[in-house]
Amino acid sequence: MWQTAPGHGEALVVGILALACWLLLGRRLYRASPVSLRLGTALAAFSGGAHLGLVGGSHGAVTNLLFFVDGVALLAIAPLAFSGLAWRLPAALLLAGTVLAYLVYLLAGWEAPDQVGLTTKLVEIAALGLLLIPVGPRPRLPWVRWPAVLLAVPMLTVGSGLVTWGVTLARPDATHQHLGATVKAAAGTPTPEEKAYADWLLTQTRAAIAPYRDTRLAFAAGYRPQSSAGAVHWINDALVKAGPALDPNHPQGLVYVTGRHGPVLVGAMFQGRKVGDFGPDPGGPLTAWHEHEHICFSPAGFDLESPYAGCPMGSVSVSVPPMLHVWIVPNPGGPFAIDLDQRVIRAIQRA
Amino acid sequence: MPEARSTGRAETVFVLLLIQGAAWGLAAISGFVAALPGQPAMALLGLFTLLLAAVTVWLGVALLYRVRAARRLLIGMEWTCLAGTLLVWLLPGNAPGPVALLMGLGLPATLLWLLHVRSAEWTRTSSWSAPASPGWSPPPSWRPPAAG
Repeated sequence: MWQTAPGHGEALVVGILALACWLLLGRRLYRASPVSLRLGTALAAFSGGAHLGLVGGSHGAVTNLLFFVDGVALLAIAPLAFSGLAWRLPAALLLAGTVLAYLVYLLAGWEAPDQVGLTTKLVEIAALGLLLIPVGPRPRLPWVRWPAVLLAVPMLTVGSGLVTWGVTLARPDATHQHLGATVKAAAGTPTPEEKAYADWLLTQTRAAIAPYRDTRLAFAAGYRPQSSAGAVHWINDALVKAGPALDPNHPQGLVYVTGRHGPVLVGAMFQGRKVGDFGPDPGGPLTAWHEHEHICFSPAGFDLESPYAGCPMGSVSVSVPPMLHVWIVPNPGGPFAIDLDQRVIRAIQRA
Repeated sequence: MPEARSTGRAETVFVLLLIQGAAWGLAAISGFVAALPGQPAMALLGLFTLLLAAVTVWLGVALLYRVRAARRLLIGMEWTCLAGTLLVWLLPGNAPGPVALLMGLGLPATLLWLLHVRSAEWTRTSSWSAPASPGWSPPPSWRPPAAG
């Protein structure tokens, strides 16, 4: 969802070129027309260009043909809108059909959601709304067009976002164990040496952080809580600045879950200095580092950024440096899993 | 009504606000979902975001009725959105993609461009003005203008 598929970036450039061409060439035509019509036709031209830019990619012959036909038809909306011919209904149907066809492609698994796809859909939804609204001295069928706008625009916007989100969660790519976490090495069979190292790391870390069951000692050692809910991470900034060394005696973070009798130490966390700064990985796939991207963070907790790059009020989008957790409590995902299982967290909170 | 008055700015802004409101709604859903696994305070953030989505659309409707204060409030809101987004992008590791650029920069900038133009269309005194009678009445562009 956050990536741009190969070849799709070029389509965006073609779309921008088509938009620029229409703004330059169509100026005389649209000068006296309402803003909504000018903007709507310009956005349709952008989408048409983007679709033509996708032709020839590795989508298959049928999809390439559909891209071509769709691109030409979308480009034709702009000049047709000023031709005096009946164009509005076909244009609205075309734009709505283009958005719905994309959602069908996503749901069927014929295409993976990406940034260019989502951008063009938002542009098409805006174009659809702008071309439908009744504006002008004598707008036709306002009692049909207004309800159509009020229904189609929010529904298509929310629907496209939900489908994109759902498909990304249901079918993550090879480097994503769940949305928001990119794993450095997700696959592979560990060698005996890697397995031995992973066992050593778990044993050593468990022993080294045992004194920090007392949070006062953790505080004295420089660890500070970063959030207040769920698995609370305490971070030592000085150790983070020192770099992502995999030293069991000096983990960059400690993780606690607050139970009825106070915080319970559940693990340690090794962390890089900045995004992309992965640490050593002698445990291979058993101790794979991961980094969280597009996370909405706030003192109330964290969640995932929406497909439209939005976070709930009061939280900010962050991409955090690579990290490796070592869980010292039994965890269904294993001692080096990305997350501590929610059932484990709830059991500790109730205990 | 003279053709020059038919700029459709308020209607254009309304459509774009519908999209912005829907996007806020989706962010609110994210907050509600995050509240399920033991982060109850996230539901509160989700609720605030849902309120923001509702206010966004409500201001759009007010603009259709040529409520002057709606334009001022929207200008303030969009500038705040724009500034907040730019500040967030300054955080390390936050490289905006095309969707973030469109929603965080393109949409508020377009809205501000539309809203900043001073036009008689924003006021009730324009030839598209809503009637003075109390109670619900459709926005000006729902009805054909008076003859002449």
